[in-house]
Amino acid sequence: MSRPARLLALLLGVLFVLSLFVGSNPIPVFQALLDRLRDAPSAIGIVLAEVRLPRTLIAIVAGAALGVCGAALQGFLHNPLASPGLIGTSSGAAFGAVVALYFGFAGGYGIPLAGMLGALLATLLVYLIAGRDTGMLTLILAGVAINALLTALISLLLSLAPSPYAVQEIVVWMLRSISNHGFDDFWLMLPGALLGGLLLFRCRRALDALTLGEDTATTLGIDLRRTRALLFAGVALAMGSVVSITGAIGFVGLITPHLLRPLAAHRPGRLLALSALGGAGLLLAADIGVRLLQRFGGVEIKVGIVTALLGAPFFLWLILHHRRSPA
Amino acid sequence: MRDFRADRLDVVIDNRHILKAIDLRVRAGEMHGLIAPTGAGKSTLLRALAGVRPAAGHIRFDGVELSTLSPLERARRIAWLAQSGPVHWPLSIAQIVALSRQPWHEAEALTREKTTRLLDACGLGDLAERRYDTLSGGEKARVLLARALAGEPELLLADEPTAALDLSHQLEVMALLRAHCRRGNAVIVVLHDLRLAGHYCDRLQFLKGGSTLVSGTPPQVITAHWLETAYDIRLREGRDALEAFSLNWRLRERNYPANR
Repeated sequence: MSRPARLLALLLGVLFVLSLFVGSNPIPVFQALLDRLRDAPSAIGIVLAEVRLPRTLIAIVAGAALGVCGAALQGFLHNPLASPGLIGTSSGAAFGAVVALYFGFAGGYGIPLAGMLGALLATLLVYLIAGRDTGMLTLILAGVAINALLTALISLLLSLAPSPYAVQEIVVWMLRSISNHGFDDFWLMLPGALLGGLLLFRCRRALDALTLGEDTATTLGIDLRRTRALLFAGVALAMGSVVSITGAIGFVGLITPHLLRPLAAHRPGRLLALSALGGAGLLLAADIGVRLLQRFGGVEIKVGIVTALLGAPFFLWLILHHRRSPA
Repeated sequence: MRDFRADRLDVVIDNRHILKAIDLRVRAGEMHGLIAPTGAGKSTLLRALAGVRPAAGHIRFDGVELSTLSPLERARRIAWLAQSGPVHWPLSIAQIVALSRQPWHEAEALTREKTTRLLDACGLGDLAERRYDTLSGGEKARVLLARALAGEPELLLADEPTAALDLSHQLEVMALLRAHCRRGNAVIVVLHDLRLAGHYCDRLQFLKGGSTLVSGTPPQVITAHWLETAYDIRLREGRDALEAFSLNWRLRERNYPANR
């Protein structure tokens, strides 16, 4: 494990502990832990084990998946503006989930599987439209178009919903975030996120080699078709699983790789692990912020709002930065 | 490696016949120069030989059909240096060069050691930790050549490696390629400078319109007749082509072995 990775893991560990201590209401965490360990029935024990712990774990897995997907997409498309939110992956997953709700096969792994399929189709579509070696702008514009199309299709499905119950189900699903989930949701999300992450890690060497362009990477022994398949499957699995549980959370996948790229010496392959750790830390920190705001400010907001408030200015800065120095 | 040969290579792109029945053979220790006017298909030929561009015909490495080699095996034996290859992230020079060691799946320490040794040999040791995007055009070209050499390829396919370089660096690059041949490897190089080609290459192949015009040793190929056929240029009366395109200088300081 490299030094930056160790530091990020340590930071994540600290945030994990902190996250168990922070909630909308203060609870004696040690007492709650003791209650759980002794199997003594207590409300605070339940709050710790069935509210805070799953919420924390979901934030970690979702953040890690967003971070690693962002890093993988940026490396593969050699485009610093690529991220699951901007190129339509998250919208695709959301659309898939809404389709599952609309047609009534949302039970069990229905929503995550539909989310994976939606994420895969949307990402592939943007990739096919934007091409491989086109400029940054084409990719972003294709992403904007696909995002708009998918948002419109979701609205259309809402309008055409067969019953008010379906509408309600879809709306409730669309309002979800990383709060209000139990371990059942965590277990629904984990396999796809884990498998997706593993597939992406298998692209490490290829992503490094792709720094020299697709043709040179081929002469370095990289099987481009296999890399593409692994990458799109990995992103689809991870994002489909995460978005179907937490809803779309913007900007984590964009910011994280950027912040950590210097620590990875700009190597796209090395950036994957760091982005997973960093994304997990970033989303968990944002969620802790949300809970603190709720506790001391009395306002409840979704974590996606915090990441967007931080991420949107960062995104604008990135665009301006790259307009000034296109290299 | 013993020999590398291509037989009757054909490349068609968008219904245009870019390469027509090209034959090519290079043996271990040889430098084979591809010479042609712009647009004759030199780069396409090199890409086809590198396996980047699909082509009809046969390409054999020591008698084994190239398409039957695994991508990894091919990567260990053949390196391709693109004319102006992109470097998408601001990696350090050492990192870029180390990418060519990837197919060897060796320990990172060994890669570092080999990379350092190569960069020193290429006169780039001082730049090892510099970021690629801070280099001059000439430095970038030399780094990319070092990158291609780092995999210790038995066959190096180099597309205009001297294009962005000043005179002394052109000689330095050609000497590096020559040294690579002397270690029992082969080089196929695209060149525009007939002086360099005539001086450093063992064999030259003139292409025109996607076909081979002539192939042979420099004295056989650099003649008034073939220059006129390939480039539509005519030598002044009484001048000898080989003499006109001869290279009469060598690097003084480094005293590179400059001849063939």
